Amino acid sequence: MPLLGTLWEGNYKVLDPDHIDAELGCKWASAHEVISRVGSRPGKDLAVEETASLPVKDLEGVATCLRKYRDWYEAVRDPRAVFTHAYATITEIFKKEIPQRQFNDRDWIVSLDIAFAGEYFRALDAYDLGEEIPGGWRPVFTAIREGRTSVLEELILSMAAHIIHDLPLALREVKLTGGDRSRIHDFYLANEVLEHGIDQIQQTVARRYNLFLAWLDNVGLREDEILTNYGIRLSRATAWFNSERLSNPETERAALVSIVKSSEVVVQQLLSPPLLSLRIFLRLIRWISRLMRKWPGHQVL
Amino acid sequence: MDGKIADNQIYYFWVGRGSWQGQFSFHIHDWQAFWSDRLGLKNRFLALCMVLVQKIAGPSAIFSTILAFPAWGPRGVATNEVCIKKFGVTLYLLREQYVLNPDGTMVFVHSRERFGPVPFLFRATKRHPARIHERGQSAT
Repeated sequence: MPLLGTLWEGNYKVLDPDHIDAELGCKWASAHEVISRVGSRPGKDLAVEETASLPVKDLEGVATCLRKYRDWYEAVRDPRAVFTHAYATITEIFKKEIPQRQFNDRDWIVSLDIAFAGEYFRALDAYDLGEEIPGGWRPVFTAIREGRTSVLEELILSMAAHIIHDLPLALREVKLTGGDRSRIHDFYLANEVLEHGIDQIQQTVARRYNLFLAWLDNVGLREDEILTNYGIRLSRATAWFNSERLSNPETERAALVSIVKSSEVVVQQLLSPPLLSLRIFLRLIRWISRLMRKWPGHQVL
Repeated sequence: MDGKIADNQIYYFWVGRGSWQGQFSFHIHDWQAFWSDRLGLKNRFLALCMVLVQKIAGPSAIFSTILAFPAWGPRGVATNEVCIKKFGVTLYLLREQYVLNPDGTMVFVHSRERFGPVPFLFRATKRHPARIHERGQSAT
């Protein structure tokens, strides 16, 4: 483990259920700790099987799993909670809207949602388990975890990475055609569900994490919303195109490079726009946002 | 791993869970290596402070509280707050999150640490892996 600018090795031994002995060392120093349990020993009554269960099989499973991750991130004050909560909300909206809309193949759109969410869980787990993070998510998680972002940015950056990087992969998994028929009608119809859900997502995120977000929406002439609506349509259309490229062996490799590169560029532009005045404005927004940020629930760490 | 309790779950959820306290000692055994290592000014200063405090006042008290959250993450999460104190003054504060790997052995540690009693000085974040050995009886 890294400590005091160098690498240390630690050896923890359980002497008995109430005593642990730890030796830590690096090339120039050593540390020793002997600890004893305080109070009574907890029972073996924890339901350890109750882990967030992946893979999920339906939209209710996706929403449940997202809420579990959200609860965890909120308890440890990890800003990834913002998008995870928004994602749980949009999944609920989809669950309600899909039976009411004229999809050609409802099962396909549900499969797409599950595959799409699967890419997000993969990115979260890779970061949390110290594994290689999918390229498009790397700059987003880095920026978010360094505390350099506002609630609005956490929402938009994650949404951008999810659509630009994950959607083409999910589309490839569930295939763009069923028999001779293209799925583009169902894919397009899903845009409408998303657009109608944007208001609700913004409201629920603002209520939960930062009322300043709602205020921004009111005084900002709804520019962020126009950007998000238009951005969603455009980036989802690009995702369809990239999925076509991914499905073709001749263009697959170039498409994989392109979706990683595109999300890096978009994230970079969102975090650090080319205009100085805009960068100054963003800093001010981030500062106010940090002051007004709130976290629901009890902090455990 | 399905159906049975993994080594990393035994270590954090059964053995480690709860409150602990004891003694902590720290010393530099190779001063030449210490001065030649590229630690940076801040880390060198903090290591020297730790040695000085231990030389003057002896070993410090260490407190740790481990909480277990089996429902979080891919295979459960545990948190640990470690505090090293002398005469009631915080010398070191470490807040760790252990994300259990579904392989049942590895754990990834996300930490925030603080040296000294002043909350906004000498803070750092780090991430590193750890391995839990057979039946959760030791870790490296």
